Amino acid sequence: MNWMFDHFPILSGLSKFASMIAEDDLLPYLRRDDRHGQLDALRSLKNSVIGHSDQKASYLDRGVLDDLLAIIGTAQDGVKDPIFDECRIHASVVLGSFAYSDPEISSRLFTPPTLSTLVKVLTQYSPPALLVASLRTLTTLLTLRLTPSLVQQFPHLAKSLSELISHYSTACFANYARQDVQVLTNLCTLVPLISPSHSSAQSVSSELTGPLFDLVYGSLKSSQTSGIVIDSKLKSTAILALAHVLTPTAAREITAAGPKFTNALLALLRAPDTATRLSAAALLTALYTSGRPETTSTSGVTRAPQITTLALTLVPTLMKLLDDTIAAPDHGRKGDPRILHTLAILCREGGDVTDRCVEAGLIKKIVSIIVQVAPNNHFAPGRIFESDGKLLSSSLLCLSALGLYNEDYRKAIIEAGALSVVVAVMNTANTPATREVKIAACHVLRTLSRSVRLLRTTMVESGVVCGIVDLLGEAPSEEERPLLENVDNVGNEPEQMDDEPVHTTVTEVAAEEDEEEEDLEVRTAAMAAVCNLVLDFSPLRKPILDKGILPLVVSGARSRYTPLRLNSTWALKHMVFGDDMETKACVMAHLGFPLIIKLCDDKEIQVQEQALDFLRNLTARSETYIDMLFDNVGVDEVFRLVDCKLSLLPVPPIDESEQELLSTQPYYTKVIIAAAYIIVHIAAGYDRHRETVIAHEAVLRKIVQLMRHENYGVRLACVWTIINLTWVEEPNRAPGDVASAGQIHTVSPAGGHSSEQLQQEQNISSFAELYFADIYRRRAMTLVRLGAREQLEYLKQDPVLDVREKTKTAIYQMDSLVGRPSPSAEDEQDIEAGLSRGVDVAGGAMQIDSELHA
Amino acid sequence: MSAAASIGPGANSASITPKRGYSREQWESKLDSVKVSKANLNALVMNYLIIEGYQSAALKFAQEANISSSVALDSIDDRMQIRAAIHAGAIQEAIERINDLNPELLDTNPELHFSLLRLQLIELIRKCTASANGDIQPVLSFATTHLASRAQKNPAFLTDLERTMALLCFPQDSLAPQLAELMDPSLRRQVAARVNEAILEAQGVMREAKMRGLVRLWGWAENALRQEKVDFPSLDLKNIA
Repeated sequence: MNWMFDHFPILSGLSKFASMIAEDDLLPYLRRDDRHGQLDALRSLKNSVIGHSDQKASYLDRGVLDDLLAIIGTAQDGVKDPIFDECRIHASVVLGSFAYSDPEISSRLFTPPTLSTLVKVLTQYSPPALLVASLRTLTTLLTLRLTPSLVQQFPHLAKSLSELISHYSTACFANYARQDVQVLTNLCTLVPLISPSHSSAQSVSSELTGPLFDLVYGSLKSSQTSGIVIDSKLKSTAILALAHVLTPTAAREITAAGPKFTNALLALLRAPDTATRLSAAALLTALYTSGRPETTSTSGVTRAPQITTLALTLVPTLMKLLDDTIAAPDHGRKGDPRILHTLAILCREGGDVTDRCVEAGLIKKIVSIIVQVAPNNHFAPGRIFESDGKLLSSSLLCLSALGLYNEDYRKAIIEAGALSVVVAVMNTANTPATREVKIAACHVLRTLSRSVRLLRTTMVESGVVCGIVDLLGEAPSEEERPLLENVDNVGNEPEQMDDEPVHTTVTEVAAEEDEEEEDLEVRTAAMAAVCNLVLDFSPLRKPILDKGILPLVVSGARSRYTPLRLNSTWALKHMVFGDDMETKACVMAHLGFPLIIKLCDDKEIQVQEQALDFLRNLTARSETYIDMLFDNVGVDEVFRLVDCKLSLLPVPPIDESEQELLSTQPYYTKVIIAAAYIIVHIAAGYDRHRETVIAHEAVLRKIVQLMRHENYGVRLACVWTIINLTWVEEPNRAPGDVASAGQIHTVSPAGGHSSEQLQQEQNISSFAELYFADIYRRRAMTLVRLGAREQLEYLKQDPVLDVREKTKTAIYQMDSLVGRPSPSAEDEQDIEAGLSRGVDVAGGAMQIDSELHA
Repeated sequence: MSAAASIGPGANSASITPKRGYSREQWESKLDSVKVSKANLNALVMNYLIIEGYQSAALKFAQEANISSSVALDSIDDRMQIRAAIHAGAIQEAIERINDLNPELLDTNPELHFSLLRLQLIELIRKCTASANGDIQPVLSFATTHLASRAQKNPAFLTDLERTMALLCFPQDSLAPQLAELMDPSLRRQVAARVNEAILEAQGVMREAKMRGLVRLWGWAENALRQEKVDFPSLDLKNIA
């Protein structure tokens, strides 16, 4: 990163000056009121420190930092004195030089007044030369060590930058002046540095997208008409800054405006300089993909169809750029984080894109880049510096994206030795530089955990468990209330569930979140990795639970930070998937019903989906938990909840521009499916559970209506409900309401009972049989009255085989109860074979982040 | 250059694939039909003048062609002054000018800084050995303060420093060739060229003018046409120079 610098007018004869004041005497001059003496001293100081590390250390020891900051920080009022500004400019340049030194020296600059003094220069009216000097110093410092909360710390910074960019763009296009270009280039370099995390980039987006777009668009137009060679640098930094702050909504607005902008960017992919090619590729990727890879939640992404075509152009461009950095390393480092980051975003799109990258040897190239940063997977504590950290995190992100959809690539990633790097990263000390690396490591872990085979083999050996639990535990929970309080609350009335601290005002909450946002991002990524590790067939499940992860997950589910709440709820859902009653009990002991019910009504539709899926999994094959749900939440409340979810309709987008809404629509359907399966599972419980379903006609009516839903998953769930409600209980189970309540009943497959058992069963009261036969019949009649029979008739023609098959079963069961003619013999055979309890096949919900069976 | 008579088989009979070719007139009119905008042409010329360092020509051209003055244009003068200072052996002045033009350059480029400092040391040695009873103290103190610690950290710097210090031990008129080249003005020119390149690179200016790339592209296209056995008047660089 280099900046050209202004040639100040007052410099002639300077070379003689160095000998005029002995270097030891410089500092007193800085402290005097004599501006000319101050300026001369500053010039001498500048020339004696640039390139001289020992001098820098010595001056810092003697307290020069305070003097410099005092000079930079004093704004003059009244009559403008050019010497005054010259002093501030030179002081700023000297400060910038201190930033270029050994980390031991430069880290001494990160004392509180430094950044605020420099930021102040930007937020006041400052002459361009001073702006350039301060911006340069600020970017150098931030490149060395990112200060994540800079935009939060200085709330006016984004607005000031936005105004400066607008002002200097106008000036630049009107009268192409060198200083304007310098200010703009530095401003654009600063933008990604003040908002390094995804959330901070989003927070400055509304201020900065407009002016940056105008600047980029203007420079694309002007470069066709002017012969200026230098503006490629301004152009590329502006394009990168725009790519950094772009939100999906803004991206759609830009692409919807027509192909002109895109075409201009495509032309830049053939620009002679690498910076321009890279920036164009990065912006095109940001425009046509769904976002940055480290932030997408565990759910699938919605893909723009154009990206597949675009990737055919972008991948070769980026691979060539990457190859160049490997062939001719910059400052001894192979690879460029921006290239890898862009490739990672593209690879998330899957399919052709990843195939092309892997064919071009990307996995091996990334590993060679990782090895140079971390030879033998060893990181000395605290020795990952910002630049290495970025390279490492973008490399890992790229690996995680490559393995997302393909088992072979996951295998290749493991074989290349990535897992030991991941474990090593998770165990390094926490510094600002390692935060992003840890997030990326979690993403690799999550990708690898999608493979059942890897989960059962390599991952077991590797010390993943300690690393991931430590990551979740590192950041203190944002709420300090006792994590286990709900253990005692199981069974208490729902009034106690809402334990939000009432005294906290909205602004306080916001401030609290801001402080910890970066830590929350790490926990969110770790939680995403945990999701698959805690599934019931994972050998890591027990060790992870034994390490005490549950309180951490539950506290994550309470978080106000939506991505963490989502991933935590997701992890909980996976924990209660399957038949492991011990784990279910353990989860419920920590979680408690009040929280999960609250999550079912979360503002975020995806959290609702996970929370409802949690209940779906909890009640699957478990009458105990159906009872527990009813006892704790109340039967009517459960049905009210389901009723309200079944009635959920996505808000239809009014026009094309509201595509944001379109992208959430799949989640509405998923919420309906999850809610419907809760009913399926309740209906698979004891007879008295089925009675509760029959008693709630409003819900049944919804189920019957939804049998015509466009999504086959919804239709299938509805048919399962009918099957389970028309199921004729075997005689020994019928009085279960009294006798076997509370027992864990394992549903046997048809024919699973031995002949002795059957004999015994037949000897049990025939009275009960008659009594219950009436109940079954009444249930079936209710369903018929609500129109289920007609709907089933319609579903016989369903395009989906599974729906058609289950429909036959439902019709058979219903008709036998209400005494309709039996279906044909052939059909009957099919049906007998297919007869089974809904719960056997329509069991848990874990399919969403898994591909585990792929 | 008109189409040459072909003597290949079948040349006498009616040709199946007619030979493609262009007379000079046809060729020129084809070339003329490609419209190159005035702005693009001006940009190309300006680019050439800036990169090749023709400052006054560039300034005049910018005025005449009404091109807004460019960043690189302003710095031509700075670069020339720095070069002149190094050529003259005024290394301290050159360093200070570099620090004014781009305060980051020497901080981020320790090799370049070292070679400038070594050049400065050589100048001090030159001064000290010029007279019979020259004071050796400034040489020693400069070497200790500015070069010794760098040489400790970098073996290549150490070798260079040792070799430079050896200049003090021998009379100027009977130096070994290895040492004599340190005193030769060509070392100054070498360092000056490196400084110039580093400044240009920091400004994001390509070291080669766009026009040179275009000439190479023309050559490539001519070759491609020849392989297709197309006959056309080729570009003679002498004619356009």
